[in-house]
Order: sequence, then C-alpha cells, then structure tokens
Amino acid sequence: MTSPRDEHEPSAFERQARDAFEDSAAHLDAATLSRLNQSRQRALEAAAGRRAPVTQRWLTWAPAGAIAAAALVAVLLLRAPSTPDAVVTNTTPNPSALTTTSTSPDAALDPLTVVAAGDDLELAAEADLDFYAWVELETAGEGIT
Amino acid sequence: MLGLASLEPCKVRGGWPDARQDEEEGLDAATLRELDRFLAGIERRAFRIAQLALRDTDDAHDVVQGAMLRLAQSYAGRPTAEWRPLFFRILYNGIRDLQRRHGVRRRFLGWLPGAGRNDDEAGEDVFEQVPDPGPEPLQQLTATETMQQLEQALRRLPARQLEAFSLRCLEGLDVAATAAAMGCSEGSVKTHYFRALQALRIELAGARAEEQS
Repeated sequence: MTSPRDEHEPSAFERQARDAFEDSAAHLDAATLSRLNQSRQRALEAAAGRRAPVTQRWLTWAPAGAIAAAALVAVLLLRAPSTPDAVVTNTTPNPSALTTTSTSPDAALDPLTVVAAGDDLELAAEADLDFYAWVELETAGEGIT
Repeated sequence: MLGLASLEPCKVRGGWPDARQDEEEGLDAATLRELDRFLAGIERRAFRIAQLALRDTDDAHDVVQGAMLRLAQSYAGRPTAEWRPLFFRILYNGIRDLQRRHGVRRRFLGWLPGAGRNDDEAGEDVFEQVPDPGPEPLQQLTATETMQQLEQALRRLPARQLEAFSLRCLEGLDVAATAAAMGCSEGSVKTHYFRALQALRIELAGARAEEQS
C-alpha cells in the first residue's frame, strides 16, 4: 500500500514530460496503428480460443490412445487359446464324477477355458456309450428302473 | 490499492503469477470486450515505451504483440485492475529479453553506457532529498521538441531508471503498481525514479544551455 506521501504531486518537469509523451503516442503514423491493431486482434483471438490448448492436448494423445487400444485388442486375440487347454479325466465310472482339470493355472478365471471345458464334457459323455449301456444292464438286472 | 497479492514485488526478477488456472478457463464476451478496450487504450503508449527502451520499431512491435498475447492467453481471467501492471511487467520482461539478445551489440555501440551500474535497493525515501529544481528545462520547448530532447536524454539512462521513469511518469502508474510491474520493492522504484529525474534534469538543462549558447 502506498501512502499519500508516496504519491507526490508531479512537478512541472514531470507534467511536461508526460504531455510530450502523450502527444507523441497520439500522433503515431497509420502503419504503426495498423500493426498495433493487428496485434490486438491476434491477442483477442488467442484469448477467445483459450480452451484450444485442452482440445489440442486431447488431439495430441488421441493417436497414442488408438495405438494402445489396438495393442490391447491384439494381445487379447493372441492370448485366446486356439486349442482347448482343458482335458477330461475319467477316473471313475460314475458319470457324475466326471471332472475337468486344466493345464493352465488361471483356467478357473478364464471364461474361454470354462466354455471349452463344457464342450469337452459333452464330447466325452458321447464317447462312453458302452459304459452307459453296461450301467443300464447292471441296473436292469437288479430291478432298478 | 490494487488487488495485487500475487504480484507483490518479488526478489527474483521475472517471477510470474501462476497462469495455469487461467489457461483452463474460458473467457466470456464481456471480458473479451473489456480486454479489447484495455489493449486499445494502452497499445500506443506501450509501443512508445517499448520504442524508447529498444530504439527499434520492429522490436517494439514484437514486444508489444508478445505482451498482448501473453496477457490475453494467460492472465485475462485475472481481475481487470491487475491487467495494467501485469501487462507492463510482461512488456518489460520482453524488452529485457530482447536487450539481452542484443546486449553485446548495444554495449559496443554505447547506447546504454550506464547499464552496468548497480543502483538497486536504496531504501530511504528519496523524495525528501529532491533539491529545488529551479526553472524546468523543458518549459520553453514545444511538445515535439520536448519529446525529441527527452528521448535523447532517456537513451542515456540506465535500464532500470528508464523503466521506473516510463512507468511512473509517462504511463502514470503509482509506486505500488510500478513496483509490481518492475518486480522490485517500492523503495527501489523511488530510488530509480528519483535518480532518473535528476539525471534527466541535468541532461536536459545541459542540452538547453548548449542550444542557447
């Protein structure tokens, strides 16, 4: 904060200097005034478009984002198993005991493995028709329907 | 008192208020109109001040345009009362940058013979020491002659004295705003200004005496 003491009354010298300066500024040539006007218009355009830098930042990162997305899709496609990595173990004659195991440690978390394991189960069941025929004969002999 | 909290005189010359927030915000039409009025009102004097400091029309245009752009892009969101000292601070930073770039050439040409003088930070109220100036050396001159002689005298001033004189006397900023624009203390402004006045009076009185003899 400035005190009134600081803002002294301008002397005649200061007033004359100021008047002369104002006079010289008021009588600039047309070319100078035109350039100043152009500069001002540029500044105003820049001020009006101040959001542009944010947009430009998005545009700058858009190609990088697209590349990253493409890389992610490629990785997912490559990681999708071309052959099922689940095998069926048939250690018991009881069909309800048919289980699937996976050679992949994270198979339980992989939806593709689960789907593939379901397909295996159906195929294995179709392949053991003799077993089902034997079970039917045995149960028929014991009078179980 | 201007709301210049973030523009308080700083020790490091060229320190800037934080512009990051302002850059994220848009400007409404009223602010743009206000900015247009402000720049239109200040551009001529800013150009003359830059021209006085740089003595080159193209350089002066470049510096004024740079200051306008910088103010518009980074500080237009600040209160309008801060624009003037901010603008001149930007302007003088631009002037100093250009002077540094042309410094060696200018020193060899002897345009700023007192530029190396270290006359910073005196502290006391120097206006108490102002002697009775007697008849003013510019009193008998026309405005054009006055400006011509003043320009010649201003060329011999050290850069900081020229800054203080331009902002305080020619542009009419008060001590606080001048300090904010110059990035120094109010005491320094008073010192620079007082020394500038003394040097100009002596210079112009000498020039006048030469003319009369």
